[in-house]
Amino acid sequence: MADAEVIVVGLGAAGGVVASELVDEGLDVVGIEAGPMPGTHDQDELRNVIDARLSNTVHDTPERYRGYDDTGADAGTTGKFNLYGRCVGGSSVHYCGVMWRLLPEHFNMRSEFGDLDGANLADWPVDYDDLVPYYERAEREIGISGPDGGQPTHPDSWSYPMEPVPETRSGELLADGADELGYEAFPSPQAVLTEEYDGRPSCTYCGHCCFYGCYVRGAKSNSLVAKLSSTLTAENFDLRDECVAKRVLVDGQGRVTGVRYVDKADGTERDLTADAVVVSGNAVETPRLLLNSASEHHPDGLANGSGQVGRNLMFHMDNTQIFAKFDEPTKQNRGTWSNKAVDDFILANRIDEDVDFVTGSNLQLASINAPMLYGGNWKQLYAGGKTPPGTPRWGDEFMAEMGDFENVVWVWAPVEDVPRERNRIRPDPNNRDEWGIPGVDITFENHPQDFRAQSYVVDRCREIFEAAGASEVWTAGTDIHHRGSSHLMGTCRMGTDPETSVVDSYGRAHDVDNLFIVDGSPFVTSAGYNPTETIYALAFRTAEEIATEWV
Amino acid sequence: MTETVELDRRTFVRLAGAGAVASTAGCGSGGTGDSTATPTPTETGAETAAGTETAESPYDFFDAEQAAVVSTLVDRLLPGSEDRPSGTDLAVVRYIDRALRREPFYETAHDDRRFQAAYEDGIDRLQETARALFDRPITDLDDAAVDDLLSQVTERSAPGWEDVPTPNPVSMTVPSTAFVALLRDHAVEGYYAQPKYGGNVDLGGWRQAGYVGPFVEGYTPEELKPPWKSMAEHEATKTRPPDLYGEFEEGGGS
Repeated sequence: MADAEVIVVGLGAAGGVVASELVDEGLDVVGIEAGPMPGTHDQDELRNVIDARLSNTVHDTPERYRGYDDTGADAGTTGKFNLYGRCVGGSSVHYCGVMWRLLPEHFNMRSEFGDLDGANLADWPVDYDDLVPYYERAEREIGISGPDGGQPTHPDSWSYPMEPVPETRSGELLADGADELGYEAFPSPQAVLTEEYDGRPSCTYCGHCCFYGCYVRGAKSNSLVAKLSSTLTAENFDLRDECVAKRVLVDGQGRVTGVRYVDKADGTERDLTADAVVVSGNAVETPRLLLNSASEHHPDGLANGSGQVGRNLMFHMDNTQIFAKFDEPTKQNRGTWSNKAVDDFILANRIDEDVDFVTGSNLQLASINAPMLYGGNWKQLYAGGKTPPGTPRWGDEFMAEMGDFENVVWVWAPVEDVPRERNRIRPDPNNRDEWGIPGVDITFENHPQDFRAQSYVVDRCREIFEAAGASEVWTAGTDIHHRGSSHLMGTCRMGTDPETSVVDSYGRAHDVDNLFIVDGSPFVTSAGYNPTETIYALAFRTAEEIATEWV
Repeated sequence: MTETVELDRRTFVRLAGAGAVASTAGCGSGGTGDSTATPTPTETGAETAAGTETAESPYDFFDAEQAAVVSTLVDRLLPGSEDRPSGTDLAVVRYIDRALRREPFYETAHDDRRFQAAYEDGIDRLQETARALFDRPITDLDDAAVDDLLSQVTERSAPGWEDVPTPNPVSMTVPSTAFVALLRDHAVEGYYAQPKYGGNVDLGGWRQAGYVGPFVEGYTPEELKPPWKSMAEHEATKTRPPDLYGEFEEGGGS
């Protein structure tokens, strides 16, 4: 008799949904989570953004980052590049909560655009239509607000359970500029409650959203408040928080039998048995765990018969930032992370001219929460230091620039990067965490088309700001090889062919029929949208598969 | 920022040298003094300022001489003007002193205590550079000379500062020699962080940036667009989060 029917490793956006759904179905579930249960949240930029680096509980996995020419065990740079939370709810506790359905073409990039030299484009084994019912569930059950009719670039139309977030002055300016040039700005769909919903309070538009846990607990929708909170007290659910999964255990036939984890409280190792295991770490932690679970039956890592575990890592070019300054205050720090977006450049085939790239990007308003973040700080990575290039770092001119803090608008673009086999994650036995578990060795270089797409959308955004009457426009994060991301995708790609993919469209490992993977890692391509609504949709679909087909 | 008492720099440096910096800034915070709890100004400290050279520092980390140097630097990094308070007006030195002894917020996040050596060594090195370039200690330099010193160091042209590495946000390391970059970022933190950490007295940093700051109630949809209400108008009808002014855990006064 196993300890549980299903163990879910990682209780973030995906794992939280799967655990909750399976508990509701009456299965005995154990959730193993490396971080703690988050406490109350504050609006303190020093605590949340500067000193805790963008989240309530930062991860503690050592990372090595290398380019293609950085060969040798000690090559590259060690540090922390990727930004993800470690707590119950995962990164969905501190995320910005901008939610998108991918376009139909996003699921068929290879069919739509053909092969691309140096990239590993492929079609997803699911189409948009397959995911529609699960997008709908995410919007309804997680709690997503958005514009009537859905995303305007989409051939489909739909409605959200709540009105979109209210327009801010910065949203008005972006819309004016877009309108002037014949583009369409529309309200960003967000995991933000614009009315009391499912027993949770409406957003107060306090402005401390992305990088913070919600000050009005529950107004920012995520898997913790929308799904897990009611699951935690269920008799058939057992939470092991602050426990780090060390390896997935297998039997003599190579089937999964459970999970070995380290209890951070006392450093002891424990084994838990189960009939099935769901791994939902994220696209860094999931391949790390699988590759650290090599065994006699899985010598190259669990479920890695294809050799694809850890490969095709995608980040988005998520350091793409465009700023504008106006002569009047915009007070862009109020409201949600984003309240307007432009989708006219989301894919090459949506652009009204010939371009030399196939991907594209959503342009979304973003928010600099507080003056300290505008002033910049070496601790911040891309969250801060937004002043125009050439602004002195100190003295009268720096102070004068700080005095313009409220006149700024920031647009952020999650430019789609194409998958490449060489962009991969491997365990790094020379760089272990404090429990002795090998950290990650990341090899990554963007395809040249990624830079071309980035440059194109940055130029269009610049024109929109100028049309809106900006007195100054500047950019950050372009033309550089950005390291790491908060959008972690690929590394366990889904597909129909076990030779070239790791899981099927339900997240079930081709090699091991009682192992499921659900998070950003089954993504085949990255799409120029924030990934989490698709992660939620896949999680609902995987949970349904486990509950109906597998049990 | 009319509530803050503006001191001329000479007076300020003298007081700072005697260890009365924090009290100076605190005294200036006027009517909201109960909420921006400041460390004990110590009458004795201020008196000692005028009298002896063996003043006791009101700080936990900096001794009186270190505090004087840091005060001088901070007021050139974040200079005041008729329209805005200077770094020391907002008790930025007190902020840094506490940051250097602060428990990290989360065990896996920053621990600024590891920068203590960078401050101790950096202050000494910068003093040596000041003596080499100007033949006098930092606290005796005029504004233009301090600016010159800071420029030469940040541009890596000052003797002994040619090879200073840049702090690395990825590896999360800051070399001891990057003291000025560290001090600059700490000063900005102190100027704009929530007052509970010791700086941003009377929200003077936020006023300078035109930022109203957080309220328990947040903002109504109408308040997301002009016409904009002033900070005072918002404060008259809303509640500040209690932890905004909350005492820092390690104490630091009253």
